[in-house]
Amino acid sequence: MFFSADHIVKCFEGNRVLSDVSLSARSGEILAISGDNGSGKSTLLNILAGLVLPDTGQVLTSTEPLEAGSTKLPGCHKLTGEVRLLFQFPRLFRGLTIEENVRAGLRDPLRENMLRSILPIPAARESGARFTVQQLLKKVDLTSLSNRYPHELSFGQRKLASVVQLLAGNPSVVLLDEPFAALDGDAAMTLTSLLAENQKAGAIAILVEHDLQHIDALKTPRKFRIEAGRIMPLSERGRS
Amino acid sequence: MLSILVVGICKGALWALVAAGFAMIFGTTRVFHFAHGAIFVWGAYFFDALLIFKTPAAVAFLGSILLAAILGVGIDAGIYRPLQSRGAPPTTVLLGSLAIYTVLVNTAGLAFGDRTLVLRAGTDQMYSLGPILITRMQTVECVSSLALFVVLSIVFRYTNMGLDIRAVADNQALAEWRGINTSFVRLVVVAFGSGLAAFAGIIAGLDTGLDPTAGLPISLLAVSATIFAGSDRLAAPMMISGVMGATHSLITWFTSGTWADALFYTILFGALIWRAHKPRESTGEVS
Amino acid sequence: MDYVLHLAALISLYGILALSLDLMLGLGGMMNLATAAYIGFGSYTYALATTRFMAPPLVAAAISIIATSAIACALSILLTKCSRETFVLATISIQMIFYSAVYNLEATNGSNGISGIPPLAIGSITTMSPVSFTSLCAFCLCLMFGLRHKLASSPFSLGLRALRDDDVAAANLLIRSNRVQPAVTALAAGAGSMVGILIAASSGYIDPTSFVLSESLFVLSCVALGGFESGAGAVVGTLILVILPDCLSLLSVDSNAIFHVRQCLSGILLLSVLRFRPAGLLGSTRGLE
Repeated sequence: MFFSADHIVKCFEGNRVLSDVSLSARSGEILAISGDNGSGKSTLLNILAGLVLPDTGQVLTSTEPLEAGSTKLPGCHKLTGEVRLLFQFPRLFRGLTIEENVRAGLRDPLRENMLRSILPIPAARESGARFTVQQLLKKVDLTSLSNRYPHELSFGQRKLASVVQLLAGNPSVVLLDEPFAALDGDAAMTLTSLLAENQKAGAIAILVEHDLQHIDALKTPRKFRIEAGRIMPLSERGRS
Repeated sequence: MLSILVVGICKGALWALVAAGFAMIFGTTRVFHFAHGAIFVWGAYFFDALLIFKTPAAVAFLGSILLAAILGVGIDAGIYRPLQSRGAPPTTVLLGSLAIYTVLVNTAGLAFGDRTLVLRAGTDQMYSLGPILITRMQTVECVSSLALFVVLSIVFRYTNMGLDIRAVADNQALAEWRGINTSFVRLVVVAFGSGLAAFAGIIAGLDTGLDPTAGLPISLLAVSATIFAGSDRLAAPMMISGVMGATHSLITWFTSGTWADALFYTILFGALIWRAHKPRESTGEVS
Repeated sequence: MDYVLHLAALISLYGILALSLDLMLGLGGMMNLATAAYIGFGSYTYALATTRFMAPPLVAAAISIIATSAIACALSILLTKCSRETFVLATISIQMIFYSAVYNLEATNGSNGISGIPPLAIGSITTMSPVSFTSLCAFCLCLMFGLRHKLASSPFSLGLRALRDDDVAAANLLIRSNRVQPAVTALAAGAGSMVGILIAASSGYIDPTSFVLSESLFVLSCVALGGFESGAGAVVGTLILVILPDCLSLLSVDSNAIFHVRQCLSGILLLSVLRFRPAGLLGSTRGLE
């Protein structure tokens, strides 16, 4: 799996938020971008996720390596659900229980298909889905809260629930906006182990943080810095 | 042909009045005050009721405007504010507005019947301006609309009250923090807007007559015009409503019957769709 | 006895509408005020197909349901990008366009309406006899109740509710409104047209005044009163709002007045619900507000 962004430019109301941002990643890689508020980090992630359209440039996913300068086939990653974004502030569905929230993250075509949903669903499929959700909730220690609603959970718990909701769909690319912000030590460790597991499974992770201290626990992350809409690699001794 | 145009313009002026009231109310309360159309209608009905009780015309006129203002404030205080302070989403408040609209319109239907109410007996006095023949009521419509626009422009720009209103319309929390009595501003605006609607209703009743459902197209138009124009402007909703009112009048003239309504709503529908598909400039969000 | 049957049929028909509206609004977050237009379109299509084109009643019914669903689905695709408030206004516009069109077209006979509409018969169940008709309506109600329940507990309901709560987060998980919303709308339109067909087939006569905005609002009130996201709630709300004002007919009040009273009552009850118990009678307060 190859994921790349080419020459992304984005302006809002006359301000240039992103200037010529390009990056690329392949399976199993983690890109860690350090950036402050106002650097354009959230906009970049939104564009990479396909939730916002760039003014120029494109975001591509592909199963073959893309050579620089070649005409690319736009990999419409939104159509296959390969890329998912973890929002800075957890966006769980407030009318759904935690279990239902995670279930909504499963890549189930029936979520959009009314006619097939009217027909009886094979018991095996249903129990399989339930099992997957339970396993995921166990990983983040939220099993006891599975029938609660998001507003009943703490911020950290909601964040972990969101992560697990994201991972339920086995996305090839996970984008994370300040995932470690406001997490206590235990939760941070859980998150790190989830990311490591994800990395081992071959997924790509791109995350943006104020400081990159948590990242060192993961396998050889590539570090960058985003500032005023421009992105540049960070050397090993660079300030994090 | 010219006189048809004049009729259209006067109708447009009337609708602009109603839209102005709505835009003001929306600006300060952020409520889609659908019931505004009901207050428009009730203005005429209050007038009729007062006349039945043998009050002199001038007193009835002022009285019904006052009653309408009280009604408007009552709706705001009794329904919109409690809902908003509880954190209800805008669609819930809109639902409340639709509910009170239903209650008001059907009460009118019960009390006064569904027939068209014409407040004036006999034909209206006519004036002639060169080749144009214009009725007294139509003159009132145009003059008052213009006068209102001028007055409001002055008030908003040069008086303290006007500045306070604009501040609240722009950012309520900030206005509150600056020490502006937002509750009072809200009260004044709602009262004035409702009184304005009632005034327009009486004029409409005196001019062509109206029935309980007459407020609906005007409500819809006022709401839509305000959505298009942006919530903090007054001139644009007035202008849009004015044009649409004139168009409605012209279509009615040329096609006879209520085809005007169908065409009018189709234009409205098309405009709403067009608006929805315009890319949102500030966030550029796709979904 | 006939009166009780008539009431039962009325409750069943409105109940079907309330259940389908709960799918659209309670689960889907779409405040749709074109319900009366769905009913009316179904009624008129059935009436015209049978009286003008001499189609057999069952065929006409099928055409009516398919046509209404298809058109509503198409319109819904246009509306997927609308904000909540714009959506409401757009559905109101659709409702008003329908009413105006039906009132003015010669084909639909304007305010005179269409009479001589043949009844519907499936085997020995016909819309002609009160018992038969009421049973048919009740059966359709049960069908709709079951359908709603099935969908509400299926993965589709996850998609619906996700879009209702946060459409951006839903898109992030690949739940797209332009797949989900037209489908639900088509279902609601189909249910509405079915009700319209039953009305036309039983009374033999229809005119535009039955298909007005107030009726859409009435159905909305039934759902709001009974409680969103609850099938039992939709039925209970309908029961209350239909029976209460109909008791007045026992006082032989003029039918026009009953219409107004029913609307007033539904408006007042709706306001009370919004003010004091926003989740409705049987709805759950799920930290909505």
